[in-house]
Amino acid sequence: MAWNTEGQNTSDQKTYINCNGNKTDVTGLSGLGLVEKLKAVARDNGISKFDIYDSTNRSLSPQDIEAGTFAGDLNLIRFNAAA
Amino acid sequence: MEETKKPHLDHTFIKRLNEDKKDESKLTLAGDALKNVIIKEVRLKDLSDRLLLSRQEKVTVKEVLLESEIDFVNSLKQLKSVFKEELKTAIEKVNDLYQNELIKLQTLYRSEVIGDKLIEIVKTVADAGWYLLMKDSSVNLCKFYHPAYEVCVGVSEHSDAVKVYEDPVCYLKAIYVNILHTKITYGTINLSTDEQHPNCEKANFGAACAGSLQDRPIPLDDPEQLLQLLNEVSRTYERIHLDSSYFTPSGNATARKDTTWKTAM
Repeated sequence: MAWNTEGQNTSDQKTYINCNGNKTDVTGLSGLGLVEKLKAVARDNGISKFDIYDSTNRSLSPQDIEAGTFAGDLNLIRFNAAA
Repeated sequence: MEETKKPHLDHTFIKRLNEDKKDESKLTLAGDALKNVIIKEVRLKDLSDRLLLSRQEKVTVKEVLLESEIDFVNSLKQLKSVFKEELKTAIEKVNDLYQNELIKLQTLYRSEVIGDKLIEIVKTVADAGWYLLMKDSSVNLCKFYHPAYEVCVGVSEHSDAVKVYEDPVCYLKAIYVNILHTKITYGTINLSTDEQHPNCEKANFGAACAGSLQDRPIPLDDPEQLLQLLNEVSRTYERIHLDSSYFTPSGNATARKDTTWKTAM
């Protein structure tokens, strides 16, 4: 096998938060750090109440995020109340 | 002994030969059959016909003067027909060019109005289950639920509680968002349901109350942001907002604390 001087990246999988059409790279973040990052992204987008869904469209609670029980990217959706 | 008589020459014979063609030709033959010189211009065919009709084996031709002349009238007639033909061809050519340019313009117009941008929007939102539907005078992005979505969850912000109904309050079949509206307003969002959605004016099909979605711009220039908005719309009507609804669902429900994410949690 030939030598590879560039090294082998074993974790190519990146994680993003999708919010208002913007993508925020949160690869490497987990637990409470990720929970806080989600809130920060919401604040940056002027969102005070929101839902979080993963790539399988499952609604996630802060506990789910903290425990890392989600798949793929996270979608932050503003909470709206119909009249 | 009987004397042989010369056969009697029937002078009317040649005259009768002329009778049937009198109108078509000005050829008049002298009563004593082609004796006179033909001085008038006659058509070759007429002359040939006459000669044939004379039924004589031999005829005496005194003089035939064959002249080739330019027939101005016929030439003009021919020229006129050629000009007509050329003009017709030219008009057809211009019409073809016009049609060609018209099609080009129409294609460009379509491309600008419902072309690339619309295709980009349709492609972006399709992954999330939204489709383009044109109906009457509206252009809608629609999300169809198959099977129909069971709306069981009601949210109350006043009491910071969520009610989960034992039986679905209604079944959400489709959401229509009229993208001809620049901002969300009453009539922009329509719901197709079985049973009435508490936030919709009518059962089966009707305008949904926009609530906090009111006045949100519909960003056709940014498909990603548009998709985000559409996702917000679908999430909104997949539950009931109990604080401001047309009616309060009466079914049995269990209440729990609202755990929706808040930035100030």
